[in-house]
Amino acid sequence: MTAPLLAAEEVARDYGAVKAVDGVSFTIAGGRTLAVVGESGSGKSTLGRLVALLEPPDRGRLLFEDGPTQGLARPAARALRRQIQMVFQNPYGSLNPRKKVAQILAEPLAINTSANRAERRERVRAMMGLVGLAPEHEQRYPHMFSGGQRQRIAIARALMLQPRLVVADEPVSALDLSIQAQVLNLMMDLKERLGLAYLFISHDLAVVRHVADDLVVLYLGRAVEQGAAAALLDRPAHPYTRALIASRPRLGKSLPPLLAGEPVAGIAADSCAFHPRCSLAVARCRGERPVLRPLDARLVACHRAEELG
Amino acid sequence: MSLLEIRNLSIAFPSPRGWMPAVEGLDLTLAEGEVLGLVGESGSGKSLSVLAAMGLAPRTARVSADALRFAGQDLLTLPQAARRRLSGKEMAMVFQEPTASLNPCFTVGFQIAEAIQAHEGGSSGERRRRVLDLMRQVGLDEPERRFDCYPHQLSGGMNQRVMIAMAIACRPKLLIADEPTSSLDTTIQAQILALLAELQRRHGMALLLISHDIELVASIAGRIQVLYAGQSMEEGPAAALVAAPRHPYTQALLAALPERAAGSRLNAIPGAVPSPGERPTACLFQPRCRFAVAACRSVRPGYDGAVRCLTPLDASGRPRARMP
Repeated sequence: MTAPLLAAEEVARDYGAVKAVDGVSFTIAGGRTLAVVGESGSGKSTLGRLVALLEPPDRGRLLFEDGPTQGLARPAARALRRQIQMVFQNPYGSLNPRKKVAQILAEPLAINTSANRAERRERVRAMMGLVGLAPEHEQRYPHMFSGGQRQRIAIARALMLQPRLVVADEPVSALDLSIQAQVLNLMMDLKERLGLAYLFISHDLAVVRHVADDLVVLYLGRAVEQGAAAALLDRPAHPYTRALIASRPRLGKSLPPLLAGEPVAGIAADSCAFHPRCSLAVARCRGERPVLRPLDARLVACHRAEELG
Repeated sequence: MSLLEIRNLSIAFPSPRGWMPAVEGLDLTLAEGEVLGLVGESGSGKSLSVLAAMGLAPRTARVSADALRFAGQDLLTLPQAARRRLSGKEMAMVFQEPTASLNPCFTVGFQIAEAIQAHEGGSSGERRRRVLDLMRQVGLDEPERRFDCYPHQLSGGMNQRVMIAMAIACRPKLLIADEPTSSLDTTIQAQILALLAELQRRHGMALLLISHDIELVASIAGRIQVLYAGQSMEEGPAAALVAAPRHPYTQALLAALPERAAGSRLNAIPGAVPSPGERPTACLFQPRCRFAVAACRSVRPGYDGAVRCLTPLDASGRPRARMP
C-alpha cells in the first residue's frame, strides 16, 4: 500500500489549560477529502492550523508522505509548506484590500519560486481561468467582488504553488446557499482535475455529505467517531453524530429535534465529555471515559454505541 | 387588519450615474401574530426594506412608499419622536451577529435592563426581576450568575439569547429577526429557531424572519415571500410554496439546498444577484434563469401578488405554456 499523503498521530495542542485538540489520529490519502465536523470549540480549526503547519502540535506528530513535518532544515521546511495551502472562512478578511487580484495571485510565486514576471503573469491568467474568473478581473480589487467570487480568488491563491493538500476551514459558511453550491462544485472540480486532497472543516453535515470521502467528528478536542463519510452519515453510531445530523432544519418538519445546551468544557477526565448533553448517558458514562474502538467499519467512542443500532 | 403594511416601497441610493434603485415597488403585509419568512440572496434588499420600514435606512437612501403603516399608525407622517418610541418597544429587531450587536463594555443584564428602562422606566429592583425572568424565558440558565457576565464571556448562541431577551423585553407586537442564526452552529441554530417559534406562540407576536436559507425559514414560517434584486418574485403559504414553487428563482433556491443534490454536484444558481447599477431592464432573474425565453429579455413581468414571471411553473416544475 502506498503511504498516505498526510498522517496525524495522536496530535494534541493546548492553549493554557484548554486542551483544544487532545490526541487525534487520521490519515488523508492523495486525492481524497477528509471532513472534520464539530461545533464551535470542538478544536476543528485548531486541527486545521496544525495540519496546515501554521502551528506545531504540543504532542503527537504529523507526517507528510511518511516524512517528518517538524524540525526540518529551512529549505526542506519551505518546500513542504508549498505542498499544503489554506483557504479561510471569511473571504472579506483573508484578501489584502490594497492589492489587485493579479498581485494577490502572483505573490506566492514571487516569494516561493524563481518564475519571472512574464511567467508569473501567465500562471496567474491560467489559474483565473481554472477557478472561473474572467481575464478582466485581474486589475480589480477584492472589494469589487461578491463573496462567492472572493472565495474563488482565495482558492486560486491557495492553488498557485500547486499544493497536494488544501486545508479549507469553513470555506462556504459565510456565503449564501446558492453561492455555496457554486464554490463547492468548483472545489470538487479542482480536486478531480488537479488530484488535490482536502481537509475540509465544517459544522454543516449537509454540505459535508457532498464533499467528504472520510469523516472525523470532533467533540471538545477529541474524535468521537471517524470513518467513511457515507457510512457515518447513513448509520451514525455515536449519539453526538446522530444529533448533529438531526439538527439541521428540514423541509416538511415543523421543528428540528434539538441537541440541548452547548459543549460543557472541563468535564472530568474519567468521564465521557458528551454525557451532560447525551440522552443515553448512564452511570458508566460518568465514571469511565470511552475510547475509540472499531465497530461497524468505523471507530467510535461511546459505551452504548451498539444499542443505537 | 394587518399589523404591518408596506405598499410600493422604493429605496434608491445616490451614485455618480444618478439614483440607483436598491428596492423597487415592494409590497409586504403582515397580520397580527403571523410568521412571515422573507427569503432571498445577499443583495436582494430584504434587510434594507425592513430597516426602512423601521425608519433605520441609511441616511443617504431615498425612501418612498405609497403606504407604510404599523398597528394603525402611518409611519410616513409620524413625528420622529413618536417613531422612536415605537422602535424597540412595539417593533423590535434581532440581528445576525449577536456578539457585535451587544456593547462589550456593559454586562448583559445591564443591557437588557436598559431596554426596559428606555421604554417603561420602573424601579431598578423591579427591572432586575424582569430581566431575570426574561433570561429564564430565553433559556439562559443560572440567570443570577449570567446577569453580571459581559458578552465576551458568553458563547454566540447565548449572546443571541440575550439579544432576543432585549427584543421581547417590552412585549413587542412585531419581532424582526434578520439572519438570527447564520453565524451560529447548526445545533445552536436549531435551538434559537425553536426558541423564536415558542416565544412567538406564547406572546402571540408577529415574527418576520429574514434569511437566505429557504429551508430554515420554511421550518417555522406560515407564509414566505421571496425577494430578488429588490423586487418580490413570489409569495404564498410556506408549505405550498416549498412543495410547488411557481417562480424559477424559488425553485432554484430550493434545488441549491445540499440535501436536494444527487451525487457530489450541487445545483448551484449560476452567476450572482446583479448590483443596483447592473440590473437588466426586463426580467431581473432572466440572466440566471434556466427557463428564460426571448420574451423574458424584453418585458419586465408584472406582479399579481403571488408570482412575478411571464411563464410561471406548474405543479410539475415546468413552465406553463404561454397564452397565445
